[in-house]
Amino acid sequence: MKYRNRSEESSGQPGSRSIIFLIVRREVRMRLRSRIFVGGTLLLIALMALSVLFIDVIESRSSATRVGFTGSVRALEQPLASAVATLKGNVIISEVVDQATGEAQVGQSLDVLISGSITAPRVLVKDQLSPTLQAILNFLAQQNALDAQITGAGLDLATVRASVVAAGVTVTSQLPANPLRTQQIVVGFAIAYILMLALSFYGGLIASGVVEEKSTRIVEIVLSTVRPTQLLAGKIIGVGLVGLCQLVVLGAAALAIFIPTGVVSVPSLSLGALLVDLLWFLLGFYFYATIFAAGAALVSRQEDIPSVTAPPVILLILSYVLVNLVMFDPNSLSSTLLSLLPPFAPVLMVARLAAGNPPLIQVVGAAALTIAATIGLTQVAGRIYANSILRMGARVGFRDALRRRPG
Amino acid sequence: MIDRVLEIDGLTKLYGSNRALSDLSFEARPGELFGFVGRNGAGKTTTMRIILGVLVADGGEVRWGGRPLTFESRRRIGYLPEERGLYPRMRVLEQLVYLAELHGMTSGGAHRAARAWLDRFGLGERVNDEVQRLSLGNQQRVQLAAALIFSPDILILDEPFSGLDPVAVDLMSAVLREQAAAGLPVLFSSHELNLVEQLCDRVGIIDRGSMVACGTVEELGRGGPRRVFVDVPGALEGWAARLPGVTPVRSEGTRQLLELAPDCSPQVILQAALRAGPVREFSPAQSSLGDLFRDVVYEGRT
Repeated sequence: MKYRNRSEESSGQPGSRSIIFLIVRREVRMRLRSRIFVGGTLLLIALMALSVLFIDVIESRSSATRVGFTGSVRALEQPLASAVATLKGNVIISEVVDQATGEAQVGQSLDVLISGSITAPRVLVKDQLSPTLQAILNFLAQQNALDAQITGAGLDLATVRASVVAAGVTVTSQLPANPLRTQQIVVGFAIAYILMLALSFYGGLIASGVVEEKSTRIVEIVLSTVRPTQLLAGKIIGVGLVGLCQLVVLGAAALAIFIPTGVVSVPSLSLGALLVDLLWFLLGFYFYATIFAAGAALVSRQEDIPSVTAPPVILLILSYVLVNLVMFDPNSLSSTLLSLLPPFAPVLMVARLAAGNPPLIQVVGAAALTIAATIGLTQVAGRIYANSILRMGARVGFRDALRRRPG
Repeated sequence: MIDRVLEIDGLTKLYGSNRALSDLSFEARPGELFGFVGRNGAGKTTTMRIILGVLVADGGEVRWGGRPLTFESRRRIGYLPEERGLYPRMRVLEQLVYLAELHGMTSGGAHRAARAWLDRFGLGERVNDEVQRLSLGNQQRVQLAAALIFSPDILILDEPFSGLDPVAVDLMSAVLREQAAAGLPVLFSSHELNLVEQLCDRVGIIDRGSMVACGTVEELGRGGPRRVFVDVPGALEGWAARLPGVTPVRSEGTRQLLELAPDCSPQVILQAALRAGPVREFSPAQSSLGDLFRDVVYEGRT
């Protein structure tokens, strides 16, 4: 049997680009097919949906106090509700038929029962009255007592009130007014965390892919027709595309879940901001993937991977620890400097982008530094990879791996 | 045809201070099955890896058609490594197509060739199974198909027969013969000396990084010591050992294999045998590859 119809079946020598394309396509196909990818993505989407429910439950439980009024003190209903609203609290006001019914409802359908008069309200609670409500009630009672005195003294109540309202404190904040600050910090932490996880996970995939090729010896066959740098480039591009694809799905899910429900609404959860985050994933991925790949090429067994991937993993964990510092003061000198350093830039810049408003020049500068570092790293990592990928058995020494190849 | 000779010229390879190959030279000709034998660690795999470009030699050159092998011409070599390896989670067909495409085949051509080889190897039903689900024997078949699928110009196989069942040995032998008949130089290493003897047109014996003998089995035997089988059932024990220039090699019952010194004539031995008793057998012994191998390699030891 002969299969030598070369002119028809073989296109001759494929160019370097099409070789890399073949390798990328294989990586993407194999990864997308894996259960971890599909299952993991669905799980993360489910977690996001759950977090919406969680936030919703927490918010409604913590803020809504059910207040019942009985008797003449009902006149305080409106003033109380508006005072609570100014303080961003949340009360549900209901009317209670009589004192006895109200007392029975406390601890069941009521948190607070208010009776008595407008100048001397009496409050019944199961455990304790919130300090805010107590302060509001005190203020309202005292104001009513004052009103009585003012009227008794023959003054015009409306005039007095107008002059009282004019008195007040003026507050100036050094930070620009930002009612969403807490949410921004939470979202910043979440995005930085997801980015760190994604970089570790896909870096780990690179490492196990490299070692799989080594331990199964397929690399010897592949490298008889492909250059080591082509194999390395194809693998990194392929896994990077899969990671990007997963993050796009997650980002789209985040927009679809958080924006319509209105649970979280901050600028860092918008399409534009998420696209910038994706770019940072790519920059960070190519930086870290080369380190993971070079490390993995030194060993021949899956069990040995952790010993060689510790440096990038530690850098990533450190990045996340530093997010705390950056969130505390996103534009301080230390935050700025740390977020410019290539190993930390991907995670920290994303955190700063979510929490503060870093100057464009710093963002672009950090990206340029990361790209430059990646280019330099690729030279070193490529040499380590090419020198070590065919050496089976014991771990290849670092110095040995860095040596220039003869010939 | 004549320009399609694979020439291995003066290869030297050092691992630290250890000389793995030392000025190793031979050639594999088109249409020829070349068997490469040697003890473990003699340098067979190192030689093959250098030909493939997977290792870089410290000295010497590999030429094909008179020109040094380049990255592009190496891509036309079909290779079966000693340590078998395929992507365990890739499907059989997908895997072969991928490797064929890496070697420059079109997708359509790769699919047709993969199916043809898989059908021939009895794996037509398993095309969509993951490689790791196949038995070891079937994985070996896929591996062989991977070396052949892109219609290579040269075939290099490192221990292709190791671990094969008898049916697979026959299949492998047939495929190797057929590829040589199609005009390829086929170079393979093996410890199965009988198989190499039956199959190969020429044999190279490598020891401690050097080619110590190279040629047809017949040629190799010619240069070696003359040996005769003699069977004299009625002779006294030790009759032959007393003859000048004769060394007994081994005996099976009364039948003895004798090695003759260069100046010792077989006629003299025959006459001595007739004097010792009735002669049942007297025949020149054709050295087997096994004998040659032991001669050459043990000689090198002392």
